[in-house]
Amino acid sequence: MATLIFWLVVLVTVASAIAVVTARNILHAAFSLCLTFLGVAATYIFLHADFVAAVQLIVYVGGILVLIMFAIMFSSNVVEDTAEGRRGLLALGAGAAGMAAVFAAVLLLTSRLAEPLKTANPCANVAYAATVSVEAGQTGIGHCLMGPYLLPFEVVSVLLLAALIGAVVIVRKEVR
Amino acid sequence: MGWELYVLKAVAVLLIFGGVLSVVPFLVFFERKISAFIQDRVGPNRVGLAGPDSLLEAFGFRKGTRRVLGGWLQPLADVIKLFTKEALIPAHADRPLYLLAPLFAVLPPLLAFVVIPVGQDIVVSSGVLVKLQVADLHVGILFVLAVASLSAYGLAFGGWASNSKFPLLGGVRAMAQMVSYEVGMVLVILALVMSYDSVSLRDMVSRQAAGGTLLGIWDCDGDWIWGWGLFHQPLAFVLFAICALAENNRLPFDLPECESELVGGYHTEYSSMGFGMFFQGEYIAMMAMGGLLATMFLGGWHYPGYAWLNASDSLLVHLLAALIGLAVFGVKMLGFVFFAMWVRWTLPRFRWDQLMRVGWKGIIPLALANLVLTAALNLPAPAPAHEKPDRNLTAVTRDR
Repeated sequence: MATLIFWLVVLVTVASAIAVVTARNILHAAFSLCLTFLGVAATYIFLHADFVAAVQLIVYVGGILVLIMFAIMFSSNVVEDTAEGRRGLLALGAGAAGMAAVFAAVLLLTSRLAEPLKTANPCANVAYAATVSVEAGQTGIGHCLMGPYLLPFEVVSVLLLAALIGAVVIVRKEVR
Repeated sequence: MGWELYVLKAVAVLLIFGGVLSVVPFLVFFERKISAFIQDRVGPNRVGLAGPDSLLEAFGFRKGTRRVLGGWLQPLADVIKLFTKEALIPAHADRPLYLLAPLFAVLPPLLAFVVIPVGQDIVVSSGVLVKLQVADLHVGILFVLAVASLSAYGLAFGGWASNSKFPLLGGVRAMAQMVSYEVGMVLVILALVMSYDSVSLRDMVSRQAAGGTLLGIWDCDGDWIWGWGLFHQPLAFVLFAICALAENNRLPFDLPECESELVGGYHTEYSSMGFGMFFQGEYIAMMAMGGLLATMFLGGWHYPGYAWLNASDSLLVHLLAALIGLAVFGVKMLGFVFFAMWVRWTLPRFRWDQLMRVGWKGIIPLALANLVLTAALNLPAPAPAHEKPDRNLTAVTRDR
């Protein structure tokens, strides 16, 4: 049963991800992207990473996709796809995705992270993840962010602040 | 994991979804009655039932008999009307999105109910636990926030897919409003997570009944109401209630709908159950917010005397305590819904810029101040003195 649900989730995620890049209507693409994010969150849940799944939804669906939707809704003439050389772009994208897939496969097959994946059952990684306590993961992330990774964490937040100020400067009207 | 678990979970989900959905028509009826009361009108009083005579009367065969429960069958009539109406799809609408959007309005608030606990575990016999909660997720409140962020998409996609001016404006407004008010809401909830020391909704509830020292000065008994979040996070309570209204797009924050400017806002082009689902979604979201409010601030299913009833050894008394708890939870939840209705028929709507100002310059700074204050003073929820709740204990033992 869990396997069935897992493959269902995989199917929806991959199908909607393909729809994101092939949809001719940009809002359909946005909708598919929403489904893809949901599917990725479900995959995280299968890995027993509940916290990451919730954060995935809050950040990507609740934040980033909303901004994308804003941009689409406020600019009426981007809705219909008129791009020329679309086929070339698709080929380019497919090539890049293929390379990324090969890279990920090599990485997975050579690192020890892939151990559970090498068994026949694709859900074996679920069993593997189950050995890690969920709550420990949650508090673990907290301790890591506030402990050994405090400096990178703060640096990233400064970077985000810089991006925010940059956006304000770009948008701001010149007032003299 | 066997099939039984999936079946049990499915039954639990169906029970809670069915329960929530069947309350909605009555909420609509109460909304109409309450609005009538506030505006000094009578409200729906025709479709009713009082024995065989009135059954005839209800369908218009007889007149002049006394009406009992006049209007109480109005919800049924409304539902039948919505179901049997023709579902029009505008010619220029974007068909797939137009049809999918109402689903996105109903499902997220329903999903929120999955993690809201409505009662403590009941030990039927040794080893057999009945959990009055569909899923006790470790990320509880984060899950609710995650699905809450989904609900604006129903309005946005619906507004856009209708391919008409007013719905589009409504959809854009829904998005903007969601973004602004969710920030405030998350900040409010963060302060609560800090003070409860947990993100699990179940932990939050049991923490409120633990008793201990309120605000670091006043010893209180956990069995009375003083342990509730309302008393140690009063500012958060007020801010959360405001944010909840805004998240639900209820007046004075119903800018996405705003019938005086946008005809019907995002659902202008919808009819029949398309509209019905948006409508349902609004009421379910209200109940979900009420449930969240009750869980985080009003002690969930706890009521004075709960611990005393639960101290008994008899299973029957435990069941009784749980049953009263369920009712108490319902009352708390519907209390918020009533509050939302009351506000709706009392306050005028904000202008768009006022709405944004309230969100960004009012609620967010206050919520931030509350967060900083909570962190600086390190004010935990009342807990037994010098004793932090042990994380390894199960909810059952902690609750007793």
